[in-house]
Amino acid sequence: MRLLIVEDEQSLREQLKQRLVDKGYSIDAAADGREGLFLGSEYPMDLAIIDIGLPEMSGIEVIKELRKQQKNFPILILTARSNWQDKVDGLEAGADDYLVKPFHIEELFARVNALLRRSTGHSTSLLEYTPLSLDTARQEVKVNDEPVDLTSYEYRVLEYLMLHAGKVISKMELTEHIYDQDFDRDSNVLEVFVGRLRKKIDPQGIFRPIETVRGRGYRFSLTAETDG
Amino acid sequence: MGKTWSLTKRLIVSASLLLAAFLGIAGFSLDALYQKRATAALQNELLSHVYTLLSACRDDDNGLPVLDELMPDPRFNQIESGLFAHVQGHSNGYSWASVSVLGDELVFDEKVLPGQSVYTIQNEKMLLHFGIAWDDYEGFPNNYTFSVASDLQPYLEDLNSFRQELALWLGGSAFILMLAQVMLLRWGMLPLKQAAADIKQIEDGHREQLQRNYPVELQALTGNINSLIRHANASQQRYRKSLGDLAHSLKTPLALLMAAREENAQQLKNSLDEQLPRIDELIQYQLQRAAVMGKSTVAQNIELLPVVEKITRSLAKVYHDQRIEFDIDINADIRFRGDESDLMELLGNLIDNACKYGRKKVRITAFEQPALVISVEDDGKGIEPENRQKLLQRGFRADQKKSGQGIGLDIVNEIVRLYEAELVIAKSSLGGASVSVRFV
Repeated sequence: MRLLIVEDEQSLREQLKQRLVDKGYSIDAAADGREGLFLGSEYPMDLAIIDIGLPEMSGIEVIKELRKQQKNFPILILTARSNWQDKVDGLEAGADDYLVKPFHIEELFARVNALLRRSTGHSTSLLEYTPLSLDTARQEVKVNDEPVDLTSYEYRVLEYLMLHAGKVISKMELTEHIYDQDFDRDSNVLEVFVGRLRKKIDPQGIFRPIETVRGRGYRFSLTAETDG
Repeated sequence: MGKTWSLTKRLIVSASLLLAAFLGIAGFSLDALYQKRATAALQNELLSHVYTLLSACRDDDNGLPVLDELMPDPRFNQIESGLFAHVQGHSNGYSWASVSVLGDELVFDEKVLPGQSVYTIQNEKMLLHFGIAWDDYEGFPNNYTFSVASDLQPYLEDLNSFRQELALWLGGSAFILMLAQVMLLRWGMLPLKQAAADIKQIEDGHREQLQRNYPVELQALTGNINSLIRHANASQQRYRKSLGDLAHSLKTPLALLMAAREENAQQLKNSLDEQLPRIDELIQYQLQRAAVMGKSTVAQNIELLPVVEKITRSLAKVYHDQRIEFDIDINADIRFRGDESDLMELLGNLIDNACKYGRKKVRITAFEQPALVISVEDDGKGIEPENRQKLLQRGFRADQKKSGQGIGLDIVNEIVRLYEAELVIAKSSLGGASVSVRFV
């Protein structure tokens, strides 16, 4: 999942970025509204965290502009003011949720997770495709109720595919949503990840959850038992 | 449309134009009237001279009129006297002129029919030609024209001097009126000037309110200014008080944190977890409390429905997963008298609480009876009667609160207090709590 952070306060931006990277998201960060708008318009984001009080261009303007460009990824606003006028202004401009500063980082994770789930049409954080299950909140993967240990990148690949289960996801799209802008796209590292992922979740090759669609990409092909 | 004229300029210009028009019309009509009178007087005089001529006539042998060379009125007998007479018979060639006509270039060639009188002007003289039929002894009528002329010079001089006097009088009164007008204006504008000076004094801090006895017309304005000042003072005091309260209330958690420096890592973390949210809440509460504008005489009239819709649209996003159903029953013409951000704060907190504690349904109603009553209801567990009183208790005691309880209702309480409204908690027909704000 690729997230955009637009926050002018450097220490908070760095802290958020670090914590979200640790959580397995790929992050693009901008220090002002203009840069944030550029990143949000040019790269395929899954979610944006935007501070309302930004230099150059206010967070509200950035949100309005993104929505005008038909960018429909969820937006979480951060505001230092807890009055309703500001919250309502942000939500009316096109944001989906708000968080008042100061906040617990756990609260931010929960909101981000809920928004991502909501945007992919899932109502719970648990994605179950027997015998595979993935909890987006805890970032846990289980096969037949046995936890599977995945690296952060492997988890990201699996989560993205599972959130878009049944759809063919091109390598390009997958790469873009899993890595930030500095990633070298020409390498075949993605294929390596998918290969390792297949071995970890399905060592015997029994249910083959990830299908390779030749020339087009990958598809998560299990059918859901319980899908919100 | 360019610069706005000052009130004084407007009044002076308009009154001057009016004055000029009035004096112009008065002068013109007085002049016309006087001229008419003078002309009529001159004509009467000429007519009376004609009668004098007639009475001076003698009958000749045939019974026709003849006049002597000298007339009873000495002015006819004197050259350049300014009074002239002439008589001519239309058929018998009789012609007589007074001595005064000698040397003058007057031409009496007008012949008028009996019974007619014609006035003409010639060489700055006014002439009256009077037609007469004179029967001779045989009873045969002979037509004569009796003409009298009078010099216009005295008449014109009289008219001129009248005009001069008139101009003097009118000009004089115009001057006096203008002077009076300027003085009246100054007097009339004095309260405005005083008010401006008083406001300046307030700005400079020499005064707190507009205390003078202003004229009725200004009282609405000065009253509003006074209430604005009171309002500003009150909100300044509220800010000052909030700042004091904030500083004061932060001391306890800060003292606890200071003491916690001596503790071990786990204890320190516990203290931080306990005190940081408390500090955050204290700051939020005092900031928001200070921002409440409160009731004001210069409040706006805000349409209630759009504000409620904005908030529910926003909260529908925030509580997306609960899929809360908002049931809004508010007439489009219901208005709230007060500050928009206060209304936003009040409704935001009440509806947010309803979403938080409700399950699926939130109902927002408003009606005027005639004072505005806004109710927010939910289908949650409701509030036990014994807890209601506690929630209504005013004031925020951070030390008595559990963290995470939120400050929403405290802000609502503060707004309700400042609007002198009433907060009522009851059971809703939806099953949960019903919180109503009754304005007065």
